[in-house]
Amino acid sequence: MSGVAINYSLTSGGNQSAGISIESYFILKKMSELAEHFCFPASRQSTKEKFYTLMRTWKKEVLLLSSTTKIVTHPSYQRIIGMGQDVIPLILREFEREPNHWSWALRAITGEDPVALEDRGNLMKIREAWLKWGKEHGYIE
Amino acid sequence: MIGVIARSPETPTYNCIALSAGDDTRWWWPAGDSYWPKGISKDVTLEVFIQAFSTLDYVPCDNYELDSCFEKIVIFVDDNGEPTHAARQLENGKWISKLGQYIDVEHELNILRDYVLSLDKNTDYGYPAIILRRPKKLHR
Repeated sequence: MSGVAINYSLTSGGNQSAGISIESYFILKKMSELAEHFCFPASRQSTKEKFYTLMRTWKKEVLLLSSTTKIVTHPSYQRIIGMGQDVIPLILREFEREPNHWSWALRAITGEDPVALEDRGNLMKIREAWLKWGKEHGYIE
Repeated sequence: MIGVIARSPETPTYNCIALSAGDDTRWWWPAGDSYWPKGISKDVTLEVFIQAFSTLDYVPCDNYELDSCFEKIVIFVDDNGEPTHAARQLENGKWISKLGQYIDVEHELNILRDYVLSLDKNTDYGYPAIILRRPKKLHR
């Protein structure tokens, strides 16, 4: 087991650094998710709550994957796409917070593709393109 | 786990294929918005991944041995023969892997699969399928 400073968040909005092992980090993550599933079962959730529940499951279960295909065909990610236009502002808000593989979902929901060919693979540029699109279309300020 | 050392913070900016290709600015994969070398097919097969690395002058080789004249990478495949992961050999003979969107780790080659399964029992990197190498002097 190696000890190293790792950034981890126990809530959607917080980040802390701590000298914990990689294994301890994963245990903490799983404990946080168990608490969340208990407090926010899917059947009683608003669109926002449902989105964040799906998003957190998705992020946890694709964290160690390199395959874009597997990342975007994950069942929780597909359910987010299935929620349609209502989640566009939520996705963009998350995209603003940190880069991630949201472009596929946004393309699927909107039918648009603002990402330049030469920016493929560059998550920062992809994020920039979609945030610009989001502002132009009034989804975010 | 003994034999695994974290080498970088968590970041979604690049993946294992990119790190093995020497690129920490993009996510490499033959799908969607990910980067893939121009002119290379977008099928997810071992042959296609070998072709992708051939654009960086990598060719198949037959051993994992540390060789001061060559840079080596290894491609992992799952039980269906589909590429899942790549790792690059370090100057000390160990390997470096980017674990998806998570961290880079330095490790012995034969423990990586078990290590990743210990982090997430649903993520199986499979087995090393092929070693590729390229001469070091051309890429300083």
